[in-house]
Amino acid sequence: MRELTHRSITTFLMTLPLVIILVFFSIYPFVSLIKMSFSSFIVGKGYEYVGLKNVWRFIEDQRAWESIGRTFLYVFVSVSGEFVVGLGLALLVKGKFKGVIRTMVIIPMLVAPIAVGIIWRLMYDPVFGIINQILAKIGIQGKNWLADPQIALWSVIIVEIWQWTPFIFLILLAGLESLPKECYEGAKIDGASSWQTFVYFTIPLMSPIIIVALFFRTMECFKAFDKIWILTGGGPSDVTEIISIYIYRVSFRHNLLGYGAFLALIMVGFIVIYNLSYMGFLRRKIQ
Amino acid sequence: MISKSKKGLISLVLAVTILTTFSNFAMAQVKELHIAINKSPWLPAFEKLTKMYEGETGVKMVLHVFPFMGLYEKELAAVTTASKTYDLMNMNEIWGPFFYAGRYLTPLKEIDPEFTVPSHLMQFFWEGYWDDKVHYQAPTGVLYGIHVNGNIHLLQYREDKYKEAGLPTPPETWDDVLEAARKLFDPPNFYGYVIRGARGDPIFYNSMTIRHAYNGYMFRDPLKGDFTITVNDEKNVEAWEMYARNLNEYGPPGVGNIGQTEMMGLLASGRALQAIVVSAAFPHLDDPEFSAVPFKIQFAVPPKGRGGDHSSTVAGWTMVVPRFISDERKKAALDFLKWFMTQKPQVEYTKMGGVPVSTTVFQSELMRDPKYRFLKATQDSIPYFSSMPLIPECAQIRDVMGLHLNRALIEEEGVRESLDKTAQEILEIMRGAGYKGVTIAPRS
Repeated sequence: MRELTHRSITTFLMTLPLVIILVFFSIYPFVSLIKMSFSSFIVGKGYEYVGLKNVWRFIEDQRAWESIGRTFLYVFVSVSGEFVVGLGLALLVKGKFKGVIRTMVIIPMLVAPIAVGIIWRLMYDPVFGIINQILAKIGIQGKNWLADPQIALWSVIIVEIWQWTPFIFLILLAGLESLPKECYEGAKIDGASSWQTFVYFTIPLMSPIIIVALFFRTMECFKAFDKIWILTGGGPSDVTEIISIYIYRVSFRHNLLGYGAFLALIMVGFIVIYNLSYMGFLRRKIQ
Repeated sequence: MISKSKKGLISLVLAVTILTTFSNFAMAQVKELHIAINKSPWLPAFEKLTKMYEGETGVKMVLHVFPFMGLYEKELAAVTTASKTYDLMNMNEIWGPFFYAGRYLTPLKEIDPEFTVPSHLMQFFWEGYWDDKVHYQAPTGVLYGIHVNGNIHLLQYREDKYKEAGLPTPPETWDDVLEAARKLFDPPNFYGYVIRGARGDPIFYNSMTIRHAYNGYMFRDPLKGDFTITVNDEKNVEAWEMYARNLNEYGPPGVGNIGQTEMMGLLASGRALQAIVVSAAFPHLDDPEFSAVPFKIQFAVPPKGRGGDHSSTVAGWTMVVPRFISDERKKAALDFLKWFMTQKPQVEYTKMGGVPVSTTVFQSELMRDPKYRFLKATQDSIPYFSSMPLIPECAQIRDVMGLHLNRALIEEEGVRESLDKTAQEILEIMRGAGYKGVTIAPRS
């Protein structure tokens, strides 16, 4: 009994630092966010409880709904693009091109998002940017990559895919290289084509790894902010204004800190629902 | 005989007393000043100036540097949590009224009742003042801060190109600017006019100069408390047609996303004829490391609009003293500001690449140096200084207007449509903020 109590105390003390960190850096801020969500920030007074005022404001806020829709589009296209390109690269590189080539592939992921935004903003510049200059050399008219409302969002998505494909590439490559060779040998003997092998063996065997990779990327993609802020600031007009940008504007430009907190809370809810639905769908499809 | 426990208690009390006295003594002598400031083209000049102050007074100057809007977030967090981190905060007038109205700052006369603003200081449209009665930044208000950067909008143009084309210099009206843009437009080698058209603050600030030149203002008479909305009147429409339709026709591609960097890049590369740019750009446009056209860009008072006058929008920064620091630190902060305003630091500040706030610089030898030719344009612009509406809601109004102006520029909305929508949104903001009796003026 004495030993049991001693072990319980030891266990408690060992986990206490983590609990404290969790409380101060996760639970307390989240509880504060909920409190702020049902408050308004009054100049000189601080936060005052306003009940469901922010809820009604959100329901009537067309810009908020548009930015949420844009966010889902941004996340879906970006993550899908990263998956397709990342898987393609992983299949290409699997079993070969070790060392330098693999290192070069992951370089974009190592660059800070702000730096990525600055680099691509320069590259996309319609007068001085290298992309339009190369296009001009091959006789193609350059575009206003970040100023044309028809293409600005896709230009920003390309940057997102460029930067984070290496993340998915690394995870999928590790998965591919750990697959049992016997399955492939058996399939080969049975006369399966490369495509059949890929569809009926590779994908199902890789499904747990794919789900993990997509899950992490989706969560991170919802939080995209710095790149987009540098590239376009949410413009032109509001075509690249995803919810993180809108929350920033509402909170720090419009000084509606309580409403901004509410929007952030809404996004947490959407992200949870999105991820649960997406992962369930993927699991059913792949298996 | 004193017991052991009593001895221990006496020792503890003595130790605490000594420590407290020592720390109070230490606090009474301010050895460091902490300043929250933004990263900007004039920051290096300000940093050098603070070293000069350190050398003269022995007070160590610690600069906490943040990006533009990052500074606002830090200062907002500091004032709303009664933080004692900063002795001075550099504040843009986007968020100034919000801080003044919130009583987060210390009036300068509260620190030194004898303090008055020297008459040689340029008056940047009452930025730094706040009048609670009219809920506006007015000369009748309380003084909270001193301008530390005399940044204003000037017309910056290629005088050599104007002369080659036989055009009079400087251009006197916006029609003159348009004619020059039309005459010299030669894409993709040379563009007639550059609009800083990116959504939000860039286009809001950049367009304010021309709107005010046409007498197109946001409210009827805010200094008198009349917040009738006039942002969509005919003067604003005319100004906006000139800016977003006429001048834009002779501009570079991608105008909807051109920020200050791109605008300066186009001028400095020699690919653009002219633009409205802040005076703080002057050291970069003459720096051969940065500019392909050093000493070729001339500075002028922004032109007149039809039916209006010259107008130079101020784009300044005000340094303020937060409320929650000790009296000694407040006094030390004000001592720095007083020193900053005197002639020698102002001249040195200009030589270091800063933009002065004192007219004493205009009596110095710098006026004869071509490197500081922007000073003449600044001096000539003083009677025409104008500013954005200086109320706590101005950040929100700017953001809303910056969206609609950008939409008009990229032709997602018509000019009248965008101004009407802006007027409607400003009306909602003002009513939501509790302003009584605000209406939109019938279009005239």
